[in-house]
Amino acid sequence: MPQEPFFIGWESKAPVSLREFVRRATILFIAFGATVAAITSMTQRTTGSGTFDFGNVQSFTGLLLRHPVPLLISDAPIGDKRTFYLVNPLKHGFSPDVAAALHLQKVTLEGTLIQDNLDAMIEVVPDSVRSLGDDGDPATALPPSSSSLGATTLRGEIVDSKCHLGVMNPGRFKPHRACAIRCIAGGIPPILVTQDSDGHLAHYLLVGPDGEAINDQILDYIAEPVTIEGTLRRSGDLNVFHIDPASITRLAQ
Amino acid sequence: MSASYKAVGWNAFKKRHDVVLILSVLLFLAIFIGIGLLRQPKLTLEILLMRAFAIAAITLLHVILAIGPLARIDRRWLPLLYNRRHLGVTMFVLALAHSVLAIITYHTGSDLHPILSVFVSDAGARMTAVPFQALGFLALVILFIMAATSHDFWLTNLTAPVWKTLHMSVYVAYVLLVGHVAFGVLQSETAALNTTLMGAGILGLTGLHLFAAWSQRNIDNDIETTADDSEYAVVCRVADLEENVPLGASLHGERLALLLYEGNKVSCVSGVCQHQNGPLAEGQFKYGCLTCPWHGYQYKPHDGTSPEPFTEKIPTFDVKIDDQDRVLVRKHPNPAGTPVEPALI
Repeated sequence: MPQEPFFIGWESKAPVSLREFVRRATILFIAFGATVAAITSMTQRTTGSGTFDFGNVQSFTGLLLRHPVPLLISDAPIGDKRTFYLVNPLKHGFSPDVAAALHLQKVTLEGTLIQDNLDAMIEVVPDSVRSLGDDGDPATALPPSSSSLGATTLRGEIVDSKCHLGVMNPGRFKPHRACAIRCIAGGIPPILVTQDSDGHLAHYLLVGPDGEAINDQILDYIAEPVTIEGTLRRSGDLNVFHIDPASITRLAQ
Repeated sequence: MSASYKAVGWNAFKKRHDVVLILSVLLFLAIFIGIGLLRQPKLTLEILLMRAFAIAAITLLHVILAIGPLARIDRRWLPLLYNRRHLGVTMFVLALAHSVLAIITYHTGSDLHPILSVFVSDAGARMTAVPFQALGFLALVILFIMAATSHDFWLTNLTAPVWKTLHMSVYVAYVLLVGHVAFGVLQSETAALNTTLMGAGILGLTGLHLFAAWSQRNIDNDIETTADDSEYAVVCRVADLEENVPLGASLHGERLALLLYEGNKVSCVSGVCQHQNGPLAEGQFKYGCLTCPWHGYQYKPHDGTSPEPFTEKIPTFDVKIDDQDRVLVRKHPNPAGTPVEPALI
């Protein structure tokens, strides 16, 4: 009975029948891999519309507000936006002390624009904020005054505004959860992202009942489906949702 | 085989193997990244790369884990086993690239140390808060230890049984990675195809391993011996032996390889290769030696030693043939390298 072909790696040539088998097996594995690569890439969820203008530092001028979170009301609209969240680099919020010191002052600052089709943010270059010595005229510089839209319950996902607006696409969902927790713990404003049946997103800045920061109280509810009860206000370009963190209810996925 | 240590003892097959491997990985990455950029140009590049490396790594891990049982079921797969360690190191490099990107992207820049953040940031006591990144990190540590000890230097110094046990921890890494994927990206990328692919991978590998174990049950089952036997056990009949092709059996849990060679000689050695504990009973008699099917390590059947200048040696067994043409093997092995006069038929 003839022996079956036997492969010895250090021999210069393998038996012909084995070479042909290995060739076919290799093609099979490569085709398998290519199929997996194509399927997994094509099934990736659609990401947000945000952009991070990384490397393009610009100057901005406007009125600095400390409430409900540090904001810049730009002198002139940039695109269709005048209200900009202010944050520091990496996973750090804008300094509350600087915001308090320059509240309602006209300032100039340097930073990088982060925006999606709903909201915008400036990652401020450290120590670049300068008061222009002019308190401005809050009556004209301020956005339309805050108006209450009433009590409501919203369903969505809490994320950090910085990643979601464009630093990371996607800046939502489970893989991003740890990052969002670190960002919000670091002072980045938290927002609730809701999605209607047509897939349209909306953002709601989350603050406490009196407009205070609640970052540390919501860390356990980030990047999961939740419902939240609160009072909705419109402040300039922003939807501001005043909530009691105890009203957050985690939903089964 | 080698008599000294080199980074890689290249031969023509290894070179071809690694060229195909690298081109295949690059093709995989190009397909994933290309489609990703075309479909979603706003997807953050580091996240796209992170995903590409991760999916390439776990796909390669499935291939690596499939090769072993495939080679046990059908020996024609053995050439792919020969260089499996190169696949493993490549997979580790992909996993490392994924991990470095994930840690930089998701965990640096806060007040917490990035590595500590991997373990504590998203940890919680419920399904949606399983710290999946911690599972991935632990798997990476295992894969690192395996990649770092993949060289024959470690194989020799740790000894094959210890090395083999250490490298069996790839299955622990696999379980951790299944958890990493299931509690991580599959919670976000909820398309049924993704879950189906992961499920098919788990079921496919489990099925292959079970089938391979079933197909080898005859070798793994101990030969039955009676209490009144002498020191010898009946392993088979002479007619069962095929020249130059070893017959495998298991005696008191010890694998052995019985070989008919050079027309009328019958010898018996341990069925476990000293190199990586490969199955010598699945090898062949080549160039005057019993040759391991995994990496071509060779042993002379009458004394279990490798031909010079190599120094490997395995235990031998005394063999005799009784007047009923039955092949009897002494139940206790001789020390490795002990010459034994072949039984003659």
